[in-house]
Amino acid sequence: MLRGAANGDRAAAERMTLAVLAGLLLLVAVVAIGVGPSGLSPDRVVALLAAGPGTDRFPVSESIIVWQIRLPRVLMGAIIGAALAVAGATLQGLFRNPLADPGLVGVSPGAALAAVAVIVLGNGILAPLVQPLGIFALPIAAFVGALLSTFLLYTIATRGGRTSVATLLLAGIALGAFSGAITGFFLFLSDDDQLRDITFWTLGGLGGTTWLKLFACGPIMLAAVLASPVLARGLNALTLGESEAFHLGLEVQRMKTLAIVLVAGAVGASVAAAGIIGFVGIIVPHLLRLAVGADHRFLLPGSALLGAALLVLADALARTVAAPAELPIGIITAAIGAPFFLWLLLRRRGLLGV
Amino acid sequence: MLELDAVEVLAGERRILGPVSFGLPAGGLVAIVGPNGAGKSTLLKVLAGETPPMGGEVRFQGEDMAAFSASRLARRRAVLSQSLEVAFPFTVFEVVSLGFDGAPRALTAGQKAARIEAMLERVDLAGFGSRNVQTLSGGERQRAHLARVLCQIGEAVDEEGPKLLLLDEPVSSLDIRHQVDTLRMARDFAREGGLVVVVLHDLNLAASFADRMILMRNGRIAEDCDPAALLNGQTVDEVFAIAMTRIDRGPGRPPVVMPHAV
Repeated sequence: MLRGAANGDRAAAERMTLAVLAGLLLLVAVVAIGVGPSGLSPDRVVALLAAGPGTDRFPVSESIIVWQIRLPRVLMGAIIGAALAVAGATLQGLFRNPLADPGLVGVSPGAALAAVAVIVLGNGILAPLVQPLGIFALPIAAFVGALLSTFLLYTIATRGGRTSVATLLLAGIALGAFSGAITGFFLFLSDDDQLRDITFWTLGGLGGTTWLKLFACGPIMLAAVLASPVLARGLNALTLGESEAFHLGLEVQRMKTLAIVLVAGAVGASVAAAGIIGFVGIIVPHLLRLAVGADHRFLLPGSALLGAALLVLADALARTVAAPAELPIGIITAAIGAPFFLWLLLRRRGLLGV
Repeated sequence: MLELDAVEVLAGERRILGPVSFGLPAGGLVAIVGPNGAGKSTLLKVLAGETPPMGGEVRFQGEDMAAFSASRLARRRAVLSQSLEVAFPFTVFEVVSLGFDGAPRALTAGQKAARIEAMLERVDLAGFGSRNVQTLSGGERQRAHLARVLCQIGEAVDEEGPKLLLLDEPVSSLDIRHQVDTLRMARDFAREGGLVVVVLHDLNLAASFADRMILMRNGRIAEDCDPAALLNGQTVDEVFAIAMTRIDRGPGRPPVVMPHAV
């Protein structure tokens, strides 16, 4: 028996959950803006936000902390969390496998490889490409890296216009390992400064987020998140299998292509902004499926809201647990996510009885 | 309503279907029977518009089936496949409602819910709406998918003409009563003017409900006739490579066949 109305229609409960999640996200965001070396109470944060930037009703330092440092960071965290969770839910729907994650199928490693290449070779052989792009070089490289690895994956797994999901999953693992190997080779070539930068990419972090960085990476992720509901009906039909989705009237191949572009955009831009942040894409959709429902018309927007709230929360933790130092956020999400992932595996094993 | 003209399907070098040519008029229930690997499911996939024939043509209501878009096909025909796994924990209600999702109709949420509940009652799953479809027994799941398919297809005939219902071994997991119930629903659909093509293993069950039976062997049609003629003839024994005993049930009714060894 699954929760919801007695007839099995969970749409009303799902709409209610979305409203609650939106409220939760707002609450977490306000608290997170207040958290840090100079703490601010939530009502002060709200007052500072309402007063607008450059106000003279509050101390300048507080206004700058909220408007120039914490707000862009919290917004970036929210948008990355939303993008990663939506990418995870989309990949899981596409693979018909609840364990699919952008990090596991090689999309994030591909993006990270391109970013590391820019860091290490940006002043060398890639200089003619990297210099004119300025601060946009990293986000663009990561996006192209994600798109290329997704496209490669897709080409390997597609024959005669049909994509084999099993091949896609396995090829993704191989491709991820290969990207990792080349990233390791760049690591070997890099000097000390570059090594520090690369470490940042592999662990992930939101430190140093500026409005400029937000404007460089945010729109792609926002577009992916906002476009995702278009896929909902298709992913629902795909739950029964590809043949059945076609029987139900879906242009399966077109829908798969759209889903893959969306995932590449969301993941590429997030890696560009904050490095590899794992497990958000797995945990969030899973929690929602367990607690509320699996209908993608709910799951995609729900994942966006919960993913955003979780990542903002994780970032607030990353800033406070080792204060004044800052933990990379990837450590927090992995420390929570990896055991959760194992728990899911064990639970599935129990269900399957093997 | 449905015409096949020299249709062929190849898997690599191997011909798995055809060439086959036949026409199926609306208002009938056609059973496809034959040994494992005879090409029954492949034929059904061709009829569904899912596997495009590599030679020949399939015409659906006079038009080349390849010209139909997925959504237009979904309004004209529905398919119940074999072995359906649902990847995520959907409720039975949600799975059945997918039938309405594919080819959207102008129905309110309330109308859909009422139809879904009525359909669940028809397949003897009243009260199962809130169950997790992944925890149902094989037979219950098969009936839940039947309800979904029936929601998708709706009336047997609409202003655009008769519709097509394709069932691939729809009774493989069902107990004897639900086997009969399911085939009765299929026959009702045919009586109302639609066309039903159903793949079955049980020759006697097929003969009791079908207007016409197509016996397949090695991707070709071995026999295409009415049930009584098929079961009285010797081709069945040859195709299945087992001698049959026939129990006569009177004039005009197909005999009951049993393998000789039993």
